[in-house]
Amino acid sequence: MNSFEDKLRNALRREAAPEGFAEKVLARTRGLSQPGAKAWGQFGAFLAMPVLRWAAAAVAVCLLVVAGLVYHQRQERLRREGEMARAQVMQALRIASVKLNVARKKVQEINRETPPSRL
Amino acid sequence: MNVTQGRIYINPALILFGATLLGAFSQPTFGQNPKLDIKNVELIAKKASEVVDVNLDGALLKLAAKFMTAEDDREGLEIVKNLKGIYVKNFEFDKPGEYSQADVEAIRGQLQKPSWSRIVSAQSKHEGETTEIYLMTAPDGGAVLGMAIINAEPKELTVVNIVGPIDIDKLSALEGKMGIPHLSKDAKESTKKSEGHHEKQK
Amino acid sequence: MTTVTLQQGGEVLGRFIRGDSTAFADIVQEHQSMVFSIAYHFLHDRGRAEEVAQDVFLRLYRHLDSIKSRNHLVFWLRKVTCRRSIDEVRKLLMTPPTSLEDVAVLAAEPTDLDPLLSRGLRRMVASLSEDARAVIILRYQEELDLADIAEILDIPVNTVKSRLQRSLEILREKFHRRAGDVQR
Repeated sequence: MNSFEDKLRNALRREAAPEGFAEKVLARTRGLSQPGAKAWGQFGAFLAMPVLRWAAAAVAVCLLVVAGLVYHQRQERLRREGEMARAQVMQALRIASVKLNVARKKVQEINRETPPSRL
Repeated sequence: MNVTQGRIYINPALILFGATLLGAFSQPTFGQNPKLDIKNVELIAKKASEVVDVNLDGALLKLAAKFMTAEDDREGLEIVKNLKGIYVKNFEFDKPGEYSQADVEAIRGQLQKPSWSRIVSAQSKHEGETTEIYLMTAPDGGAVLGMAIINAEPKELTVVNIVGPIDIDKLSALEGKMGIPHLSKDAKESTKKSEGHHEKQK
Repeated sequence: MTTVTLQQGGEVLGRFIRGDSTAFADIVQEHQSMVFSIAYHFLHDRGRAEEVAQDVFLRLYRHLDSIKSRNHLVFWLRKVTCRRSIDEVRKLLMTPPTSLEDVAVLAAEPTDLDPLLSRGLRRMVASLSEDARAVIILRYQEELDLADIAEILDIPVNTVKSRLQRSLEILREKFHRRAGDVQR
């Protein structure tokens, strides 16, 4: 064996990685998607972080609550408008009916009072 | 039919001409719009002590119909379900003379068109009250397209305009129901108004 | 340092593919020395070598689904580490600095019979061109044959051979010149 090459081999033998190297690598892999994951899978891994998962859930709940409130308000507004319209219809019918019957009653009275030959 | 005096003479040829001209149409055409323009009457509101102003077009009537679900509403629903509009202006005044005949004539003038027929005109000189009922019917003399009521009293003016196939008999039959009072033989009866409006003075 | 035996290497890869998150940690443990050493002998700077090595493992993490076997894994690591180290050298246009970290290495490795000599040789290797460096490191650190080196570096075997011969001539010359200086 070539002594120079042995020396070279000795000089270039493998070195131990620095202390904590593996932990640093693993720490950097957290938050990365699993190999081969699709884009939304990456998003899922992102959301897998506990804080973000809670935040996403909170946002979703808030949106649902807001949507529910908006829907409820709209339904309430429709109900109020419908009730008002109904009340107006009833009032209009009352007035129309009264005036109609006033006129009819007058006609009936006149008919009773007026002899038939004069019509 | 004019019940006060005289007769209404209707030329049969005129009726035939009108029917021929409008015979092909079952929908309201030019001159056959049962909706009155009663905007000028709104100016009277400034002098009125109480005002009832109802403006219900087709969409609002449909909405109202959805909420007329009570048993008491059944007859009213039957009347309005096919209507296209209900417009009511009712004014009460503190003293007579707050409105002029010219205000009423602006509406009465619209009802002079051939498409309208005055079916009732009742006048009480003693009470100074006039009630006129007009109907617009389809050219073939069939379906009712609209109705107008003008009731003028010294301290009250009412204009009712109903657009659509109104059944007068059913409307009249509401008496005693839905809070509508029975009228006694004495025509000058106090009418019960809805909340917020006081009764007429006897 | 925990090592994973050859027989278990393929199993570890299989575990990772199947979603076992601890399997990647095992892979890092098994190959960190190799990757770090290639980078260190290339760059002669432990800090930069650690960065390069970390980067290589992160790339591995992203592309592990394309690794077909344990042999492929080792091949891939060597190839990417060399390429990454060459890129780093070209980016920095560095000359091998005198690093105090080498002193710490010497202290940590009492088995080196001639630490000064080894350090000197490492510095000489780091002074070679990056292409020559790669051939020397893969030949004498990883003990690879010329065909394997050619495949990793994606160059013809004859090119590997000529670079190896040339590099050894340069290193011997430098070595002997330095030995002569020392002796004086």
